Amino acid sequence: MSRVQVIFLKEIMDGLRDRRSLASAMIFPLLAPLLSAGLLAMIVSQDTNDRPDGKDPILPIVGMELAPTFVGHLADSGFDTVAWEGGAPEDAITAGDEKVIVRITADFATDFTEGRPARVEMLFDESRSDARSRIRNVRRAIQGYGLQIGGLRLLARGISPTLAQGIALQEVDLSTPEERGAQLLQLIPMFVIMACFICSMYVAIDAAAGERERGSLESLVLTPASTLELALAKWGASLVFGAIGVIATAVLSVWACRFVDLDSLGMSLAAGGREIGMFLLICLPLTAFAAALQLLVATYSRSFKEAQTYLSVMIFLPMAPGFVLTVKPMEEAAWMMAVPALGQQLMMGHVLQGEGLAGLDFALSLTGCTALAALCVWGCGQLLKREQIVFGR
Amino acid sequence: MISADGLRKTFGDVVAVDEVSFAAEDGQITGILGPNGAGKTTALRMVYGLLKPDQGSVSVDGIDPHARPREAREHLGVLPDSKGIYPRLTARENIVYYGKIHGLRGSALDARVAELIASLDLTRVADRRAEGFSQGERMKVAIARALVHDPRNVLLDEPTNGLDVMSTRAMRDLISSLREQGRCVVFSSHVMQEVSALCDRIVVIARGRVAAVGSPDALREQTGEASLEEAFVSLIGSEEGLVG
Repeated sequence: MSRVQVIFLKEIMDGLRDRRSLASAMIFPLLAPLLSAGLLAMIVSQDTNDRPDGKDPILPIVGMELAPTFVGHLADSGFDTVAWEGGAPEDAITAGDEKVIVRITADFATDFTEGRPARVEMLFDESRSDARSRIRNVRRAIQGYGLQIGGLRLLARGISPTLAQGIALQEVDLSTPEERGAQLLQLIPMFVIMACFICSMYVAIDAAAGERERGSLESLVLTPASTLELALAKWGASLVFGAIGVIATAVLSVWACRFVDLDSLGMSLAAGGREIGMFLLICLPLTAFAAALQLLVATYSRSFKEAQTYLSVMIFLPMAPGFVLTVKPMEEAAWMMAVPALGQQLMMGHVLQGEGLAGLDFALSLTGCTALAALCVWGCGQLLKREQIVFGR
Repeated sequence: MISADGLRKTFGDVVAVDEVSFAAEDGQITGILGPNGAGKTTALRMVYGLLKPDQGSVSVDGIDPHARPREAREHLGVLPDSKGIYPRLTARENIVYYGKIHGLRGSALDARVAELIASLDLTRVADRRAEGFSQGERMKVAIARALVHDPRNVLLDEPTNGLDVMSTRAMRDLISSLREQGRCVVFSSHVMQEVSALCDRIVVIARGRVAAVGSPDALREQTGEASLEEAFVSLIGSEEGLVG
């Protein structure tokens, strides 16, 4: 057994006995699936299901008696139409008591019989995300009635309603259910990438800043173990914790999302055992880099607390490429694959879209992460040779 | 056998140690005596090779710890200034860990660790996690860790600091037994009585320089004072270090 192995095994044992290290490695993998499945379920239910209890949604109507046929059409379209009773309907909307209220104007009947567009007001608050599907459905029902009446009027005058149709628009959506699913499921890659940075964090801090803060670093560097051996072993231990966290996050998140009814959105989740395997292949090099970077920063930090502060901020680092791409979309380029976190995000996106994993992309990202990880571990070994680092500043 | 020759170390504008030379023989206890902040720890750190001297040289059994650190460390057992042990490991695991890093394996390792645990009177707490240990128990584990590879030369930086009377006494017995085993023992202290009771040779350090070197008797003669206490005061030029 080499010295690196001895130190590595001790760090693993120490980490397993440390509640903080264990908690930080395990809480996120348990939380992420709940979050991703929960968020997905919320999106799905808002988008498709305006009938949570299986009954027609109640649609309050002001001036219901003014247009019985119109109201009948709305009832046939799946709304439980009721006459609005209460104060100003505007207040009910702004207060959030009702999602949509339909107001039939007083001249509806006269306008209607004389062939003028009869005015109907639809009151809603577009900023309420949970009202959007209701708004869409009510609008569709009203417009449908309008078109139907218009067509009938043309027919009564001997004109084909198709004449009024300048263009027959047919929308052909060629996205596959997997691709549509991928958009929503971008959450999972994000969480897996975050796991790379969260799960190894405490072990890295404890092995580097903790070793000095407890006053054992001086004795440790006085052993025949070289500083590079120390850095390698401690990096290895952080990597193990990070890798376990990443595996747990990926497996549990994908598993949890299987419980969400995506079919009703016309989406499907292209993620089974093969995809999880690819996620792990993609992310383990990133974990290696994250652990190395954390060890380097924690070694450089003056104290445990300082290391904690730096590394907590670093958790948000992997989100930066995603934000930049959202604000300023860029054509995907080969160099992006070599950038840690960015490459992983792009590759996992491809996997989720059912496009698989390109060998060149993976080779680029593996090279990028490995080179940076090696640099960080070497840098950590160099730092441990410095008097100010060993004795504290 | 340890020798230091003309050591000098500065931190910025502060000269922490200047022209410190001494030799410590095998089978002898050499005490580095000086008030707090005199430069004892800095001098020892240069001896065991973690601080690079601006000037001067060190030799441990003929090996320069700055040129051949790995080899020198085989010959050196160090209780450094920071004496922390791993709180989540047991006393035994703490000692075994360092034994393994030094390359000990199997029955040789087990035997050495058992021997240290017995001789340091750690049997009662050997398999308990160190987080609840008293100051004295922690100090003993740190010493066992420093001695696990059976080094010829032992450097102890303030080994009695913070210990109660009983533990201090046990520490003195341990230091004496290290001398009986023929080792070269160097220990630093700011407590005059302790140094005078144990040491064959005393190196008095004040303000980063060697104020005097010699046996307790020689120091009394040199200063012309009747008691060692008075000799110490006149050597370092203050009364610091007499309480403790």
